[in-house]
Amino acid sequence: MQEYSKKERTTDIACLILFPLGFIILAILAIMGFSEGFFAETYISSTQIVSAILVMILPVLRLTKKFRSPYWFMFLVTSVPYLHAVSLFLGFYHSFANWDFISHTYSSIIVGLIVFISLLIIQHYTVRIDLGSTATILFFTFIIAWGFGNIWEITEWIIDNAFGNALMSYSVMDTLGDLVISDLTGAILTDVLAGIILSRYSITQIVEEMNLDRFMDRIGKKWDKKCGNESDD
Amino acid sequence: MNRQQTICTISLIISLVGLIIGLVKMKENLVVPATFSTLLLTLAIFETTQNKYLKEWVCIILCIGLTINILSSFITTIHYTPDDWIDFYLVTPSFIFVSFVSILLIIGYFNIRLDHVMLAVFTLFMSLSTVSAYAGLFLFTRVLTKTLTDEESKLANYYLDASFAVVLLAAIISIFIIDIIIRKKKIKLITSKYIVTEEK
Repeated sequence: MQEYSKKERTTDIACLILFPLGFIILAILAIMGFSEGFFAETYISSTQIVSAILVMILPVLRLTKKFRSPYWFMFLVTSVPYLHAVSLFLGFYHSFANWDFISHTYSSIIVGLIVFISLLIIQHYTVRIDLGSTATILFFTFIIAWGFGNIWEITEWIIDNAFGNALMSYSVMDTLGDLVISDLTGAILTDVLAGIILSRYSITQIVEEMNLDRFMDRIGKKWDKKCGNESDD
Repeated sequence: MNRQQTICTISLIISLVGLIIGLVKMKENLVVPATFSTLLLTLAIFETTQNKYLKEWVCIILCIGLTINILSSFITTIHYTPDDWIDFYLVTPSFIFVSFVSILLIIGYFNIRLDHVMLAVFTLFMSLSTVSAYAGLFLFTRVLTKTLTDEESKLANYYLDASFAVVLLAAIISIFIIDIIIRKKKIKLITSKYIVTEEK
């Protein structure tokens, strides 16, 4: 377990302030009518506010020492709401023909990487649960990453219904294109990336870098205890 | 012929009948699931001839899922109306069975150990990604071959998104039921010994 240094704490406080700051500025600008997007100011500004709250989660978890995610991971995760919110503010979804594909594929890759890391953590910290070989871990990463695309489409549907307008999904081809082209491409690219990572580093090497020992040791042991079949002992 | 082979053979006959009717009538919404079912059931029958074969309960779930899939496709082929998406609602729930069995097969043949939570999570996401694949295989061809107006396309989109929500809900309910069954059987860790057997 690595020490939580003063430098790290300063960086985390900076992240906690700077990550949402961009969204707050964009929200204010949207309310003032400076957005280039084709959507209503209310929708654009509320997206910025929700994004601002979401990007604070990882820095808060680091500061409270609940989950010390690596900085590369934190920046990658934060880049997803930024990509969506900035594109919405500047109207990229309408200005560039393939922007929706790029945005969806990128988000799918990041979601896939989060899934991949979560599976590695489970594999590393539990004894009784066994996700098998690299191939099966990659398979589970793939199906969960692709499945999340479906959940996103359901979210779009809920938001559209709540706002009473076609704000997030425009046509049946849009939904199918997102699912079958962008999300699938993202899931495949995640698997390729995950495969390369696993061919170079062991699961232990990847997971131990995250300093999760104190938290996950306890969770892992609890989990194992719950999984104990009498017949398996 | 043992019971597993009998169950699989009956389902295989239904699949083959569906496949023939689908090919004769040129209905892709019957040909796609029927081909899928035929391949899986042939594999299941083949597996029962090997040393390590599926347990009866896995076979029953697999056959129920695939038979519902074929029958619902068959019904929607007869009452085919291009403007409604009823077939999507009818066919997709059976993919939850198929996804569940697929995860069980992976546990059985790749020596994986999962608890209820992990089994539920994997089944849920397997169902969702199977529906995405189904949407890609079947709906894409259907949408592409039709000329939809913007308004119709928007309406169809709501049907599609609503269907995903239905599938998600159905998957969660199914997982809840599966969980109750597993808990009743007092199985805490699902391993290959519950899925496959090496007895002859």
